[in-house]
Formats: sequence, structure tokens, C-alpha cells
Amino acid sequence: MYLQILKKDLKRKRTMNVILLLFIILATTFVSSSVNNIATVTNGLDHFMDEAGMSDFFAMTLNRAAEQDIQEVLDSSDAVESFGIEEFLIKESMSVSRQREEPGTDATIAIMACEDSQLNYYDVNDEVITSVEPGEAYVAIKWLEEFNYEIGDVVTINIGDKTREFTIAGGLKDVCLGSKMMNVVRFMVCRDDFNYFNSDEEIRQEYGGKMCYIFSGDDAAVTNLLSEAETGLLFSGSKDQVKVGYVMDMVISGTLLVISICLILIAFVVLRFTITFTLSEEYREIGVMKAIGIKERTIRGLYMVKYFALAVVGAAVGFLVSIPFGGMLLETVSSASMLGGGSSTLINLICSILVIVIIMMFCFGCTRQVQSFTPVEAIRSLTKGERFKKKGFMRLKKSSFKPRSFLALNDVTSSPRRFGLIVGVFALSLILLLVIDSTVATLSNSRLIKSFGFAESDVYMTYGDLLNNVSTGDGVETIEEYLSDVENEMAANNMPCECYCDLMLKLTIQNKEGNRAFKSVVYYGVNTTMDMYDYADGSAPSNPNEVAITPLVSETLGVYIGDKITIVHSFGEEEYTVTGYFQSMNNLGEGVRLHQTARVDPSQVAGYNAIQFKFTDNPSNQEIDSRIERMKEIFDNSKIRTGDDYVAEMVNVTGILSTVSRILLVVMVVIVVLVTTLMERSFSAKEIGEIAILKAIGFNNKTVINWHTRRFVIASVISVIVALALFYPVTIVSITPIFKMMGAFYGVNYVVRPLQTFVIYPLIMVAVTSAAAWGAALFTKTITPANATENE
Amino acid sequence: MMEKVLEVSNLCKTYIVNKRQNNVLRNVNFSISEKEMVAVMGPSGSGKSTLLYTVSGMDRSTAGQVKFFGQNIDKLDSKEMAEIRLDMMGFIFQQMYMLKNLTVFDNMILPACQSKKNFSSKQEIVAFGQQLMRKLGIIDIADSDITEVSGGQLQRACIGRSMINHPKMIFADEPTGALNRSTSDEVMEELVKLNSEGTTIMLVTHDVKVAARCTRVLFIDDGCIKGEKFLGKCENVSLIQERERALSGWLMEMGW
Ligand SMILES: Nc1ncnc2c1ncn2[C@@H]1O[C@H](COP(=O)(O)OP(=O)(O)OP(=O)(O)O)[C@@H](O)[C@H]1O
Ligand SMILES: [Mg+2]
Repeated sequence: MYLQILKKDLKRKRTMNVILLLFIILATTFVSSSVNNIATVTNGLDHFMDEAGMSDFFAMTLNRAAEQDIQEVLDSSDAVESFGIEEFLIKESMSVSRQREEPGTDATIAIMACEDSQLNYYDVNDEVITSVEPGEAYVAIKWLEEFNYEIGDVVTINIGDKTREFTIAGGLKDVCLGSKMMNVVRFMVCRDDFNYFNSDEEIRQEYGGKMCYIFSGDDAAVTNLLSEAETGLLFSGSKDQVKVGYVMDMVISGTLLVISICLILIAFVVLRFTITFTLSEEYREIGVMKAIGIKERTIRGLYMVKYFALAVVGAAVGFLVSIPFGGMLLETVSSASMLGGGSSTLINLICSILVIVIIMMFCFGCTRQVQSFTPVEAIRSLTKGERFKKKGFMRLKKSSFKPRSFLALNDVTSSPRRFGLIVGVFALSLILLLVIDSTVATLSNSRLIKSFGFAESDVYMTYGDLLNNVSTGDGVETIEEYLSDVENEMAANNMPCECYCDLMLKLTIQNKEGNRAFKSVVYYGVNTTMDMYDYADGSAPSNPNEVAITPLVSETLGVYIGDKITIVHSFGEEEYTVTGYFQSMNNLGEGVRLHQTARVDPSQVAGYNAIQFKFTDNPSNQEIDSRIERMKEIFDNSKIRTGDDYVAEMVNVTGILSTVSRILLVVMVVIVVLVTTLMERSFSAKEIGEIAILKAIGFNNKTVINWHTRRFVIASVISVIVALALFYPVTIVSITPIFKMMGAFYGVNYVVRPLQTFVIYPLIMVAVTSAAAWGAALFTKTITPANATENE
Repeated sequence: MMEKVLEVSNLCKTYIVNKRQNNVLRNVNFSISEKEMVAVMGPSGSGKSTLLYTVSGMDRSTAGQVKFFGQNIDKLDSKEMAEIRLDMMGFIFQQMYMLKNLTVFDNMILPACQSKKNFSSKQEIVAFGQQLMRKLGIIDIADSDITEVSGGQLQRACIGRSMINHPKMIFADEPTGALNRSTSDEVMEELVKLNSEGTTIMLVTHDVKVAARCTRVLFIDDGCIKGEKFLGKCENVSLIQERERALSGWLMEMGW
């Protein structure tokens, strides 16, 4: 008998059941694939670290800045249990050209010999790379992907006056430098090729360095050791800090998890709605069943069997879909440079079963109603309609709307819970989209440069030889001269501008007592003034003896505004007064800002931000774009871009986030279409009598369809208003912690793209709702006036 | 000679259920003139409701012709048909179908708001609606929820709704079917009054007392019109019982 009734039900309410099934499939797919993604990324990272043999501590030194050999320093320390060293050659913005039309790139590349490997490096098939053929090279996957290199491409490496060509043999997975936040690209060649460059004493001194993998139980001791020694430290960090480099991968997986949690919520809310809706429709049937003496348990079992069948089918399909879908997401969203490990279909299976269990629990709760009413109540409740419902406050006689609009508005106000649900679901999906969109906008807006602790400008140019000019030159004056040359050249080309540049030094900083110290990035601007930077608290340094620090430095050293800190320069220790705090998303939030007149040793400069151009004649955006093209010719440099592009490049996740926002847009459309169709079809199923009477008294099809469509349009317009009111606070609450993790302790100024936010996305929402509601409302055409006397 | 409001010739209606044909109406021929009040009677399942729906354009016929004021309504598309229903016809059903989300008054004026042909402003509609309600004696329940009022009151509101657009003709399917005797009488009173004011009426009924107040009775059985009886205008209320007796006798002959 069960099967019989089930079969009939499935047939009779086909549309509803199909939509319900789709929802279950969608929910299962999203839940299992994103839980799996999280597992892959978090577990996968630990797994990757273990497999690769990552050390507790990692340090990278530059020979040119070193006074002591790091090897000796490490050897002499008790805190260090063991360590391994890889020699490398590094060049900021090394030019790498390839034999294809596209321009070459100038990423920071660290060349090393395969034979020196201290960690396991993997190829794309997760096999450890044990040897490299002469003339070939394995290069970090993130770089190959970003710049579209392919296996077999020939690249030319220029260091000093030596040049050699390499054929790319494959991608390289590198746990230590592989994350997108690390700006160094590993380039692995064979020992002979490496020695071709490295055997040159001058090259080794200028470009050489050491990567040290240190095993020690005492991170703090190692930190102290490295900060005291003059080893030319470029970067150092514990295993955990290396992990943080993968934060963006986590954030993106987290975003997906949030999306899927929302989807589960939506799926369950809709499910609950459908169950109560179908139940109320079947009150009389249930009443009759009760009246003739069928046990409650049996009646309840009937519904449970139906939803169990739907849940199992839906979850099974969802499970199957989630495997390729999850793989696809992982590919677009997570780094291909990780070792595939944590992923397993078991997680998908568990999630799918969980969805079934939750649906059943839910269904069990909903069907409890069956118990609560007597046969008489059940039978009567149908004839009396929805007895306890109070109609809305709108009156046709007082309204100036046409009936179709009035009826639509009146429906919405009469059933606030029903339409509130729709508004909630729509608003939620729109908010998600808007949050991600404004995050993308923020991460690719020139303004964000200030949150990195730099000054803003119109154009940014990275230029390879600048650093060599500084470190080989006699002082900062070399850069000043260079910058004024550039300014003159620009002026001569009718592009009047100011040029400036932020230098970064890696120096030991201490509190006054000298009991706390560490190596931090120290910023020194050439041609900039202190008012060009943002300060969160306090004031800008006003003389060479004052500095601003980041909250991280303040916390680590225990120094606050008004206190003194010491910076160890090559020419001696200098004491400075802290006047203010600023934030920087570089190096996870560390940094000290020196006054422009402070003294620094150019040979200690470890890097620079970019050569920045601020035009003095307020050109338009198009004008800036065309100037950039001209500048590329003048300076023969392809690495010249706008602030927006420069920020996007620095943050390096904008592309992935854009993908996420596109996925979200699709998700939103799918949700809106499904929810609208489901709701409209279930509403009109209950309103056949009313529709028929309207047709009988002379309403035509168009008016009826219009009425039904408008209800959803009203709901979607309300949801747009709700979403627009809420997305900004939601963005601040949900995204700010992520920026804080990256070092923006005071949060950032979010950018809202007005066109997308206030026009395009709302329009898409309303248009999709209208189209879906209209499509679903076409069903009402089949209702004839003669249906008026039929029982519902 | 009065103008013909409705002319029906060779009307057939066939339902196909489970691949079996059910010829509900077979070659029905009749016509209704202006100011007539015609009752349709017949056994249950004989096709009375079907006839009413088909001639009023609520349902499509299978064959035959229906002319409403000379216009062949079978040829109209659903939109034009809706327009005719809205502006020229009124409907009253056995069950009081009204929209749950509207008040009694709003339900009543809904067709007028949709049509706009008869009224130039909302105020006019409201004024006429109130006048109608007063006339029907239900002004007290104007702002009530439809679940809060009695069946008779609701049925009178339905009559009000059918009259709101000044229809040329009203179709009623057992308008008193769900009412008790005294409310049924009240409702009939309204319809007779309406008819005497010039509205043509066609109603389906099982009730001899109701039919006796009409000017003509059609008897339908097995999908065909088996007979008709002219009663004439019921001008004198005292003659009602006599009309009833005559009608009953005739119905007996017809096999009622
Ligand atoms: N939509 C439909 N589909 C199939 N058959 C129908 C449909 N509507 C009515 N019928 C059939 O047409 C016949 C006449 O029905 P109709 O409702 O016209 O009878 P009636 O004379 O109004 O009866 P009652 O006095 O009980 O109201 C019945 O046999 C019924 O089964
Ligand atoms: Mg009938």
C-alpha cells in the first residue's frame, strides 16, 4: 500500500517533488564538495609539510647583506638541533624571456641546484624530483600558471654577464615557497648549470644567498639567534608562518564552505516549507485516514517513506555530482601547487548521508503535526480555509493600484511568513554575492596600497636594476638622482609627475631595555613625505628621530606611542621615539616607518616597493592608461601598471576570488529560479479555486499571470533593498578578520563598485525572478473558469 | 419582439475521461430573450452545470454555436471572452467563491476595478459598491473577512459582485443550493428584483420554489432539452403557490 500511495503522490505533485529533489541534489553537492575541499586544503597542507620534510624554521639570507655566514651561526647555536642549507641565486625582477610572442616576466626567481635539495620537491604527478637534465629546469607551478608557461618553453636567464637558456621540463610543487603569498619562485636546475652562474665570485656575492631549513624545538631562540647575527636575513619564519602563506587558499575554501552552509540552510528551509505545505494540503486526506482508523504511525510513516525516497535519490545523485564538481572547484580555487592528499570520496559519502539524516530528522519534526490534530479538525480546516490566518492591512477600495498589482501586494502583506522566507533566501544569496564582489573590488583597488603601508600613486613601475644601483652606489642619493632623471624624462614627454619609491630594509629592532628584539622590515621612502602615508593612531614622524610602527611591532616589543625603540644599522644603533601606528599587510603586519630625513645604509636595503608616479596635472583614467603605454616605450619596461592592477598583482588572489564571485552569481541565479518556481507552483496549486473564480468573473490569462509574477517581483525588490542595506556591515564583520590575519589590524576601507552593486546585480536578481515567476505562472493558463466549482 | 440575448444551436459537449467519451450535451437548442429569467432544471448529472458554463463561455463547446447578443462567442479567443465576461456577464456560484485575502467589499468591487469601463474613478466604484451592499442588506459586513460572515451574507455579496459591472446577463449555478429556506428566499427576492429592473438571468436550480419565480423553465435530461414551460412574469406574489403547483405537475410529467 505504501508503494501505491507513494507512486500516486510522486505523479500528482510532480513539479514540487522534482524541485525538492533538485534542492536536495544541490545541497548535497555543495556540502560534500566543499567540506571535502576544506579537508583537502587543511589536511592536505599538513600532509604536504610532512611529506616534503619541512623544517620547524625557515630562513633566507642574502650574501651581499651578510657579514657572518649563517652556517657558522647555526653551527654554534645550542638551540638548533640540525639544519640543511640550499644555495641559491636570486634577483629581484630577474628578466626571464621566452621564445614566444608574449612578453617575458620579471618575477623574483630563486635558482637552485636539484642536488642541493633539502626538502622533497614534487612534479605535477606528485613524484619527488630527484634529478634535472642539463639545460632543463623545473619551475614553481604558481609561476607557470600565472604567466601561461608550458612544458618545452625555452626561457633565458640573465645573471650578471652570464646568460643561459633553459627548457622548462615541468612544474614544481614546493611547500615552503609554493604559496601565493610568497613572492619567490623556485627555479630548479642541475648542479652543473647552477655552477655555471654560481662559480662566478662576483655573481655569488651579488645575487647569491642561502635557504636554511632549521630543526629546533625552540622557535623563540632561533628568532633571537637570527636577529642578533648579521647574516643578511631576507626572510625568516616558523613552520606556522609558512602555513599562513596559504591563508588565501583557506579563505577561498572557507568562502565555499560558507556558501554551502547557506545552501544547506536554504535547502532545509525550502524543504520545511514544502513539507508543511503539502501536509496542510492533505489535511483532509489525513483526516479521512484517521477517521477510518489508520494509525498515526502509519500515516506518518507514509510521509517519511516519501521524503526518505526523495532524500536518498537526491543525495545519491548529489554524491555522484559532487566528486567531479569538487575536483573542479579545487582546481579553480585551490592551488595546484599543493600535494593532492587529503581528498577522499569517503568525505563526500559521509556528507551525503548526513544530508539524508538531517532531512529525515527535519521531516520527523514536521510530521509531528499529524499527531496533533483530530479527524474532525483536519476535515474542517480544509473547508474553512486557513482559519487562523489574518488578512493583510491593504484595502482595494482605498488603493490606487490596478487589481493585478493590488492583489500581488496584498498577497505579500497577507502572508508575511511565506514571502518573508522568499525575501530571506533571495537576500542571503545576493548578500553573499555583494560581499565577495566588494572584497574583490577592495583587493583590486589602488586605495588598498595604503593598507600595505605605502603611499598611493597613479602608476607603478617595477624596475630590475634599481636595487643594484642602490646597493652598489654610495647612498640614497643614487636613487634620488635616478628618480629625478625619470621625472625630467617624463616632463620632457609632457607627462609631468612626481616620482618616489619606498625602500625596505630588514633590520633588527629592539625595545629600550634591549630584552626584546627581532628582525623587522623597516620602510624608508625616497622623495616621499610623511603625510602621504596613513596612520591609524598617533601622528606621523616629524623628524629623523621619530618612527611609526605597526601594532605587531608594538605588541612584540611592548613599545607604545611615546616609547623609544632602537634600530640596529650597519653604522650603529639609533634610538627613535614612536609617534604613531600604521598598518601593513606586508610580512603579515610587521614594519617600522622611518622619517624621510633619517639615515639609512643603502647596502642594507633588501627590496623596494615600486617606482611610483604621481601625475601633477590630474589626468583622466583613460589618459593614464595611454600614458602607461607611452611609458612602456620610453623606459622599455613592460612592468608598468595602474594602482588597481598593481594592488591586484600584489594581493594575488583577485583572480581566484573573481572566479568565486562568478560561481556565486550562478549559484544565486540557480537558487532564485528554483525557489521561485517551487514557490509559485505550490502557491498556485492551492489557489486553483481563486484563479478560476477570477477567470470566471472576467480576468484574462495575462492579468492572472501578471498578478502571480508581480508577487515575486515585489519579494525580490524587497530582498534587494534588504541586501543593499545589509551587505556592507556583513562585509565588515566577515571579511575584516581575514584582512587582520594578513596584517591590516585596523581593517581596510572597503570599495563598493556602484554599477555592479546597485544596478547590475539587483537587476539580475529582479529579472531572473520575474522570468522564473512568469514561466512558472504560465501554469495558471491551464486553469479554466469552470474549475471554480471543482473542489481543490 | 424582444431582442435575443442568447441563441444556442446544436450545442454539443463531450468529455473524454480514461479514453471513454461522455457526451454530456447533445444537440442542445434554445434561446433566451432580453429580460427573461430562465431556470434550468433536471436530474443530477444531467448536464445543467455543463450547459451553463458552455453557453456563458466559461468552457469551450465541442460542437454547435452560441451567440451572445448576436456575437458568436465560440470564435472568440480567451482574452476577448474574458472581456465579455468582465463587462457583460455576471456569475453566481453555488459555493461562495471569493478571494481569501480580500475583505467582502474588496471582493465585490474587484471586477469593477479590473474593468474601468463602467466607472471613471475609484470613488465612483466605492460609492456604487456601497449602494449595492445597502440594497442587499449587507453593508455591515463590508470590511469583514470572508471567513467571518454567514453563507447567506456571502452569497448576497456574490450577487453584488455579479452586478457590479452592470451586466447584460447573469448566470447562476444553484445560487441558493447552500442556503436554508429563508435565506434562499431573500436571495431569490434580490434576483427577481434584478430581473424586473431589466437584467436577463439564467439559473440552474433543483428547487421548485426557486424555479417558480422565473419566467420560463427548461428541463434537461441526458444532455438534451426535454421540455420547456412558460410561466410568464411573476407579478403577483399571491400567485406563487399556484405557479409552484403548476410547475410541479409539469415536472412530474417530465419524469422529475
Ligand atoms: N470536467 C469534467 N470532466 C469530465 N466529465 C465531466 C466534467 N464535468 C462534468 N462531467 C460529467 O458531465 C456530466 C454532467 O455534469 P454536470 O456537472 O453538468 O451535471 P449537473 O446536471 O450540474 O449535476 P448536479 O445537479 O449534480 O450539479 C456528469 O456525468 C459528469 O460526470
Ligand atoms: Mg451542477
